[in-house]
Amino acid sequence: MLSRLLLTTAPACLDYLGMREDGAGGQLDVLLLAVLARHPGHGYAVIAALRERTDGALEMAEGAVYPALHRLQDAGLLTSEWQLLEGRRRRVYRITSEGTAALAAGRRSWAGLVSRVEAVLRPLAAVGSLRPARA
Amino acid sequence: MTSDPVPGDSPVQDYLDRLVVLLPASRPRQLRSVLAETEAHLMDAVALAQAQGLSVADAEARAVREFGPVDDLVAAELRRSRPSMAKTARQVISSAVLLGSIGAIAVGVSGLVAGLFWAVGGTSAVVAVAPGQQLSAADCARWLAQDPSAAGCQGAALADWAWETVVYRVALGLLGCVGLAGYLLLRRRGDSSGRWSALPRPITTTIAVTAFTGAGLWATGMGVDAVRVSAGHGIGQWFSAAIVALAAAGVFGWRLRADLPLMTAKDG
Repeated sequence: MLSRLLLTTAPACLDYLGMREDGAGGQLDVLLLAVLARHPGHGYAVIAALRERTDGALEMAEGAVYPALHRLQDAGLLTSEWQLLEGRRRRVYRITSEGTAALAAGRRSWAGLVSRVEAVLRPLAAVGSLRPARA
Repeated sequence: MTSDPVPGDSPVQDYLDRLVVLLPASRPRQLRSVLAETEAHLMDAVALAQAQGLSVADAEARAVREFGPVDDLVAAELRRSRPSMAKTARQVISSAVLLGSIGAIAVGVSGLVAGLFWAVGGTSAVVAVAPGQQLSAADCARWLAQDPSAAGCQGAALADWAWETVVYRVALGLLGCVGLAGYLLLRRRGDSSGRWSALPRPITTTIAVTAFTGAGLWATGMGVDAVRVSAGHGIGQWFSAAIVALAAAGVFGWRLRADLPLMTAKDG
């Protein structure tokens, strides 16, 4: 009962506190930097690239990308300029040297997390499959 | 000839309308920037969906759905531009100095009004000896020493209390003037950076209306009680405060009335 109540109210509480998860496992900033490290782009192109590289598996509102891009720009990791592209005014984002450094740090952090999780999961692979214990 | 779009006829236009209403008008550049980006994105998404064979209405509905709730976008933008704790603390201090100074000035003005009560009705119009209140011999001696021409202990006490009521209030009012001058000086110095700006005006105005209305009603109640219990003696100290507090509440209420349309538009 209590756990159900917590599960129901937790998202609303996190949202109220401004701590809701970004829909990309907390890695949205790194993903955006990674896309823009390849070439500059506007928001729609960045989202299209994310969708393409993840085969559409990333479950997040497209609108969530823009505040993240703005936040990264506020932090000096991106710059942007308005350009007229394909008949529309678009804000094109470009990664900065600080952004490149942050991306490298993000990659190291992710690799470390993956290796730690992998170290825990690897022995289970040797077992083959997990069966529920018999009573 | 074209007609203005009707709300509800286009999910994309409705979304953009809602964005304009919800984003703070106090940051017009952020508003225009977010609006332009969102519009470009939604138009691209609609064009893609139409190319995939969807009708305009279905394409717009899908574009808006995939973009996510407008409230989430606005909340994320507001979080991004949320002021730091240090700035919020400075705003709270500035607002406290501003409102405290205005409150002190109001007390000073009420002292002058109490002085008018004194001039018109004498000391008993300002203060009164409460029914059953005992005046000690030591206090009487002190009051009579200060005012040898007083008819008796009670008269000397009333003169002392009335003087204190007027002078202490006026002194607090002068202190409020100094505080207000300091606040204005601080604001002028830090004007370019907005370092020492107060909290948004609707917030300070709401606090002022609430505080002055509360103080005014309380003082009115005490004045009415003085009329009932002390046959009108000592009403000046209460009604002088009530008049000034309610007048100040009226001024701030008028100011708030001008701000309300902006505030309610955000909730609409």
